[in-house]
Amino acid sequence: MVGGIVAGLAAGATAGYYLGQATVPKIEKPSLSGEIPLGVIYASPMEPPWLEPAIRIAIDEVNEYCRILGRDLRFTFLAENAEESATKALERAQSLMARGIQAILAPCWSSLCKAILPTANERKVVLVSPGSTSPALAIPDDYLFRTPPDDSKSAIAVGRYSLEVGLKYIIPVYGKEPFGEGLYNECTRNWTARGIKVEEGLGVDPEKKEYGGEMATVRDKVVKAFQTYKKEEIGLFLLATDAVLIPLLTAMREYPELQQIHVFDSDNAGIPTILQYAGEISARIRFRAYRYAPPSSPKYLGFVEKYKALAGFEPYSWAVCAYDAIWLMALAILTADEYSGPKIKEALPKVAENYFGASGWCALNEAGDRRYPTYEIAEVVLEEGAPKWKPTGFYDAITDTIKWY
Amino acid sequence: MILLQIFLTALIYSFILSLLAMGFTLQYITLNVPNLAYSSIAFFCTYLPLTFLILKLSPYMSLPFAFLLGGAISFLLFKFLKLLKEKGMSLVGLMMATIVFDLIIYACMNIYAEYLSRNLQIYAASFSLTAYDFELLGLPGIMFVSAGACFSLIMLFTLLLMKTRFGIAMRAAVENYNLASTQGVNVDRVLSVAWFFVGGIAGVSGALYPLWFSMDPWVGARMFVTIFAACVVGGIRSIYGSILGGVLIAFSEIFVCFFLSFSFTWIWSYRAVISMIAAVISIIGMPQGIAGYISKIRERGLIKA
Repeated sequence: MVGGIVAGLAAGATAGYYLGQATVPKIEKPSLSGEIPLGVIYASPMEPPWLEPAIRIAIDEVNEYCRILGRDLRFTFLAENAEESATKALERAQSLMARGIQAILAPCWSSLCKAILPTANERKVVLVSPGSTSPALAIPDDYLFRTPPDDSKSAIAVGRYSLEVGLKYIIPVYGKEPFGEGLYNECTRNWTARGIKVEEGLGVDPEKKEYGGEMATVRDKVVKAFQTYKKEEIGLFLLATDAVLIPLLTAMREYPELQQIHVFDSDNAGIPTILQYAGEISARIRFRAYRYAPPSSPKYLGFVEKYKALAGFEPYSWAVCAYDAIWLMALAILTADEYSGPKIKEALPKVAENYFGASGWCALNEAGDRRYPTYEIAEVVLEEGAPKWKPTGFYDAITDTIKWY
Repeated sequence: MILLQIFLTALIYSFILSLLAMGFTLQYITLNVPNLAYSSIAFFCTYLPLTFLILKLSPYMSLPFAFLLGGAISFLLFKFLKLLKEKGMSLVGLMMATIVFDLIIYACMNIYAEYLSRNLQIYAASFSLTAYDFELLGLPGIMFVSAGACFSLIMLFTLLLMKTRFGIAMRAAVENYNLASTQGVNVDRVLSVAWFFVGGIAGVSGALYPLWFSMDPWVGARMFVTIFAACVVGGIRSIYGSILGGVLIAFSEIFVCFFLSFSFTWIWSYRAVISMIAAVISIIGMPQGIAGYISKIRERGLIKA
């Protein structure tokens, strides 16, 4: 009798255990563990001093997040420097990929991202650039994501700005590389659509670094334009990285005619090198520039505080984007629970859709670039004898309006 | 007025390029090895005027120090190459050795630039000192200083070569290394001094460079092509020909582009090609360069006379 009851209980317990297993959903423990190395490729030796602090802050925060989650994971980063060379960028990327890296913080420069992208697509390695903005790289379903907006958005902002300051005739000068050319094409389309007369752009060799002759050609065009337009209606638009922009600005010292017109740029507001090496001429011409700028938020201010404690100076916009890029890569890896390029690529847009970072809402468009940008406008002024960037306005892409300070 | 501005731009460019081309040629003919580290030695010295500026001194005060620094690096390279040559290394091997030396200098430049950026917040990986130049008679100071440096160094070199016993010994060593040795010339010492002097010229031209151009650590590698083109156009074995080559390349690069830009604005983005085209035309039409061509004309004149 007792034996029968014991046998019945045992049979019931066994059957109950297996039936329970069949009906209760099984919760699997995450399988990813150990050290996850992320790749970093700096575009030039100028970058690590201002980019690395942002990366370090993000890596530390992500590791703390993993600890809170109870995950046996530790993120690290392996950094390489492309030294402004597309060939070197590709070599560095291949070196990282050979070491098993599946996600790379790509260079800030579009020309370098362009050099790496075909290999990244082929090897299925995710790239997230915190600074590339060329519309030529806005390609759906590739392995490149970008935390800043592409220049087609910037071109809309520049078009609005040109109208608001009353420009009627514009001479574009651009660096002959993907960033400059892409922005030149987008801006030209936008200016033309807004009824502004645009002169044929003058492309400069970005490696020459001395543009006295080029500026003589521009001066010639400006002098001719004086016959048709008022000085304040003429704009000289410089589209280039700061390494090209500085010699362009310093070459203007020799041409007084160029100092009477409206000189502006779309991407280099706030860059300290312009103040350091072309500050006097920039202040004299009231050089104005745009830059992608995150809206102020507690998250942004918290990041700025940490960054200043580590770097000793305020973060540049691309540093904020780099911080968010590292977070996005890490969250995508945690969500995919697999350190594999295709899985990270699949998870990243979904993670970004729900991620509010230091640079604001990081939702991406179909090309994997930031969907909703905001820009700050600044000009170089002399304050107590020293050139400084002074913010003068804020552009909101959603409403296509500029709020002047 | 505008032509004057263009002329000034080309003039400053030509002074600096001529000095660089002259130094490269001299190093080539003294050891018969193209020194591929030459432009890096020159551009390493560009960091001296920046350093002087950081120390609140005039960038021009760095010129004598740039001469010494360029000379010292060049001297070291000479000793290194001579050691390898004595060990029987081939010409190709020696060229490779200069590339290794070039990479070391390049790395040193980057390390220094990064040190300045990290520790002093001086962005030294890409810089220009044109804003710190002085003006004289409404013209940039670099024009007077580069012209002065160019002419005085050429004069000094000519006097050294033609009017001193050292110059005679040097010419003998360059003409025939072994014969000069048997005639009692201390060839090693003579060539060491020559390399030091040429390195000094490179250092001075490098130190002048950022006062007109924008500078970065890899300018050396890029400028090497232009320097080489100037040497080829002038005559790869002629010191004075290379000076002329430098002037021609600088003027053609800027003036050809300027005049073509009236019809083809896009031509400026292909400016670097001009020096390459000039070098190719020179190789096809005048393999010995302008100097060789002038010699031929002279010889014909002498024969007719």
